[in-house]
Amino acid sequence: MNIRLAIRSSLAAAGAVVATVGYLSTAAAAPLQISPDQMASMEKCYGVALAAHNDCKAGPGTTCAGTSKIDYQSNSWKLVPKGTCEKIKTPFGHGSLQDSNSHLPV
Amino acid sequence: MSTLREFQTAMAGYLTATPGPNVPEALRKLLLPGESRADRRFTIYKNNVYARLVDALRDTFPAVERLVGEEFFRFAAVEYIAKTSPKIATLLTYGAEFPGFLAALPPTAGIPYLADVARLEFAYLEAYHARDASPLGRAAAIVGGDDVRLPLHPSARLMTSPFQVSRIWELNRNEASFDNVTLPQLREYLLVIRPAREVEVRRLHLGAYAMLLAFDGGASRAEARREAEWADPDFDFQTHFATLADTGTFVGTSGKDRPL
Amino acid sequence: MRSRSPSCDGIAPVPARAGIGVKPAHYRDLLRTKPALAFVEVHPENYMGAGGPPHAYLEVIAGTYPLSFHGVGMSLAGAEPLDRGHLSRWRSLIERYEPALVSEHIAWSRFDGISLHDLLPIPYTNESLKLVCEHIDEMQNTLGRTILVENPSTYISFRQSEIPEPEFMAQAAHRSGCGLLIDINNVYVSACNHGFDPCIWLTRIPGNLVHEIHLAGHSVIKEDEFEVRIDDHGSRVSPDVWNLYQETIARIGARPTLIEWDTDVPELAVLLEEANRANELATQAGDAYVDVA
Repeated sequence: MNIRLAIRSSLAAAGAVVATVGYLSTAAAAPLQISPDQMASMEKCYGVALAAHNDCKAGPGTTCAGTSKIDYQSNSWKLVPKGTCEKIKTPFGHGSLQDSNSHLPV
Repeated sequence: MSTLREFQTAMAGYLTATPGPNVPEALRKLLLPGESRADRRFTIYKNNVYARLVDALRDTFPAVERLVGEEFFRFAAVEYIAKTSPKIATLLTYGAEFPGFLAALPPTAGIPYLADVARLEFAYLEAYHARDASPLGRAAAIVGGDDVRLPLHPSARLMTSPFQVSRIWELNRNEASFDNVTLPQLREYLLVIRPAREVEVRRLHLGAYAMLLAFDGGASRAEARREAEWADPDFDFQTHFATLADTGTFVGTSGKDRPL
Repeated sequence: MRSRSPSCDGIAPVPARAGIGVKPAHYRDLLRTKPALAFVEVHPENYMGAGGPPHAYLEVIAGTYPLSFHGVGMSLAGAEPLDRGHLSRWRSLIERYEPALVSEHIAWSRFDGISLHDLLPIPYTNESLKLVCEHIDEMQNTLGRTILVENPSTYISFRQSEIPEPEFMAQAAHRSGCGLLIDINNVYVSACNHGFDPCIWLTRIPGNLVHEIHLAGHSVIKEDEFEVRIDDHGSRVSPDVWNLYQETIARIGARPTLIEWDTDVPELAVLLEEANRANELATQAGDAYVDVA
């Protein structure tokens, strides 16, 4: 990849924000030790390190169970996104969802 | 054609097609004549296949689901599944092409950051399952001077977006509600990494991003420094380098993950 | 010997008592409280990532409990050759964790390079029996382990089936040297869905072939005249299934018994209550080994 080209196209560097980093300690954990000094330095440099709570977020798994759900047939192209995107505004638009039917396939 | 192959050919075709009510005659004729509601019985299998894959995508892309809502997410997931069947028997990393699929899905055109949020969520998942490796500390990272080539931790994923995707992701990662948010246009440079147990999403300065891209491409420390300073003339390389080393960004030997 | 287990592999047998299927949501509770369990079962497919928290937890769990690997994706009954990549990932996990029990299903899930991620049924014919035995052989040889194979829950039955399911299972075990994992909830679900007697089904399985039992809850869908039971592992074990369990272990002796719960997974305490119930019944049944074959 051409790094310089990729970077030249950028607009601005990310600003600093307050950090919240929570390391969970668990029975099996071998936590990476980070001293307060290092943490402060990380906040200064990186704005924030958003540490996720992995224990509950293992991603998808598979099972040998079936499902009684029967509702996977509503493949209507008339559906529009209706979620928290409506509350987020960016200069390119606010995530809401003007009727985009003009783009829809027949 | 063998009985078994004949059945599995027809059944696999039925199960991978977009959900619909029609059970092909080739399948129906294989059933014991006494069984009632043949079509309904086949639907159970089809629902199992789709429900499991929709749930897998839901587990991997929870922020995307909140952004677009449950109903639209399910619609998008079903469209994706019909186009992209899993190739392997583990679902751990199913959904690699979902971000690109979302980007091209016409009804999401009004949410320009959606695909980047999905990319971030997939990077998170990859980092979560990536190979474990002991990071090099600052002292070890500095040994070798300007010629040293430092591979990134095997879990490290670099990405950039014209939107503040890590903010949007953070707002949508849990059940917490939020009021209207206006996000100014700001490009983000992100490092997703799991140096120990927790996956972290770090917002980088442009110079640090350039440095890590260079290291990831096999550059020496001197070359990485040049890239970083070219991208950002005011970049304080020593401080950033030391902090990145302290926070587990580098490893001693090349640690690229083999894909599943 | 309390009960036989396929332990020619040099790994200590699992006690003939209850274990549970463990989910990520239970890792921390399980390791904090370390309840008495005969074994802990996982799907190896969910540990096929290279590293990270799943392996960190599984390492600790494997140091605390005997492990059972219960595969869902090998497609032993698939008309296609087994997936070599999948076999090789299985083998790495076997070498790393040395599970006490290894099992898979009499089902298929793979076709034309696609994984369908469901346990799909087959017609029970001489053709499919031969194929299943070849695949069991290949899996056992690759892993260097004796495996157990499980009866699926089914929603359709086939005109072409020529071998009753319990005979198909027993034949597969005799021919390939594998053992059987009998899922009593699956027998019950299939019995209701196809109208056969689950007691008779179970008595046609030779007890000496059975090395593990599965118990789970299911749900019932009623639509007009049509009623179907879905094996969704989303509730407590039903009273009928407990009765079948009690009768079965009275006949063949207690066996390692798994409480499976995969949908709407409750807190660990609920799984332990179900496990305790299974243990009470296992104690009543005793460990006497009765070979009815």
